[in-house]
Amino acid sequence: MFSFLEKENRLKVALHVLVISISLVGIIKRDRVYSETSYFERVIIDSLAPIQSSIFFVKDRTKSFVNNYIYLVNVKKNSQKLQNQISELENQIFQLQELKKENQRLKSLLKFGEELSFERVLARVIGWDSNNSIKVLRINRGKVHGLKEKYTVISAKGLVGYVYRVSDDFADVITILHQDNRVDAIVTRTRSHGIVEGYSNGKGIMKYVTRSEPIAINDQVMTSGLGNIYPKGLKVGTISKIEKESYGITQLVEINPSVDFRRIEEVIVLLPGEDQDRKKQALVNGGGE
Amino acid sequence: MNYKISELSLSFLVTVLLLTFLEIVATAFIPALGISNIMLPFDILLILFLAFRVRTPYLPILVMGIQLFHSMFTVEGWAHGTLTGVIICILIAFLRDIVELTSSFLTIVVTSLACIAWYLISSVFFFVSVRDFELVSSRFIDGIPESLIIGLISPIFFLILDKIWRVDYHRMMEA
Repeated sequence: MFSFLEKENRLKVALHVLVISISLVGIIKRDRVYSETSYFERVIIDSLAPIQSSIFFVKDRTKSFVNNYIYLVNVKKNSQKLQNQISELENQIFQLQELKKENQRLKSLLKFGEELSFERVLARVIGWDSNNSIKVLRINRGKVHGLKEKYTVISAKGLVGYVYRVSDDFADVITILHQDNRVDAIVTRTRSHGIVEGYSNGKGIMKYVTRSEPIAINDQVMTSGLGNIYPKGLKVGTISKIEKESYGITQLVEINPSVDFRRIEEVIVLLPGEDQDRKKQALVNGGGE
Repeated sequence: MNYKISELSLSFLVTVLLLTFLEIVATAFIPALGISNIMLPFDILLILFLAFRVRTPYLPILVMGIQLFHSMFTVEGWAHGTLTGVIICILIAFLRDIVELTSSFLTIVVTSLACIAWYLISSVFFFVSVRDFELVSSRFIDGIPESLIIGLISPIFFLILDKIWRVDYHRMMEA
């Protein structure tokens, strides 16, 4: 039947079929909740992520240079000595202001959720996922800092997401804007329960909220603590739109995330304590302590 | 042009290095400039080049290789992109003899359309898994500006990649 096919064409068809089959198996076997990194992936990510990180370092330095020197070039000076002193002081003030801002940011970040019994690891955002429709951040902390898959990531304003993939020094955080990230949540005022999923245009939707729940626009939504990933009480966002269709038993609730993902620079990864790890393990094994 | 395995490997290695550089530009440099809404899909651009210009039975393997390296920069993984890439390559193989990318303008138009077709196929797969038309259509629409930008920069990249893959396009068309 295939006698009309030349040798090259047979090879071409065979390779197409083989690659399509492997891809289909890859799609079916892909774990949407988290991804364990292979040795090859860890090596590549750990070698390339520092370059991503250095770009942000260069950006900060350039910004500092522009703010400190270029804007001062046209300023008339009475003397070289004075000018040097002014530049030096300006530089110090700028650095102090930046430090102050950073301190405020970090302070609020560290203060946020301090009632939670978790160790916290501060991390800096160094890159974004190369697929625009996938809302994932790359941070400069990894396995050597104690991070593991499915650890919760927060910012001062609320829930960011969880660790999806981790290498030795870096980790990818799948944000709550991603449709595969499902957050078990409750509306704080009415205690209505639902599942928040990422949607389009930087919004989320809260599913499975029954029509009879008396929720309203601007109601706060927080994590419920169910679902094995996120602890209870983390701010997810506010309700920005409610649609009740004429049929069905639920209502469509749109959530405006409390975190501004376009301006996010630092995050905190919550590390469960050893006891909590053991407890979780015991529950998984069906036993108890 | 018929490639030997050694020639293919060398050109592929250089292409992967170029992809790595471009991915770093897309994921860190462009966001560092404050542009976070657009993420240029350079992997698609490279695969479209291979589909249009490189004639080898090993094309699906090259597509898979590019997607494997691309997956270091995205949690999407390699499988979805490989499947879409191979389908696009098959479609382009049918069109390649009809559509000749003889001018920059044609290259821009055809590459943009091929990129949009990529997003369309990808959206169909996505719809199968999420079954949410609004979400899928929004994702597809988000890909259109990126497709146009990829189309606009394609003539320059095709020139560079022609050198890497030692493609003489005009001679190839005559043949």
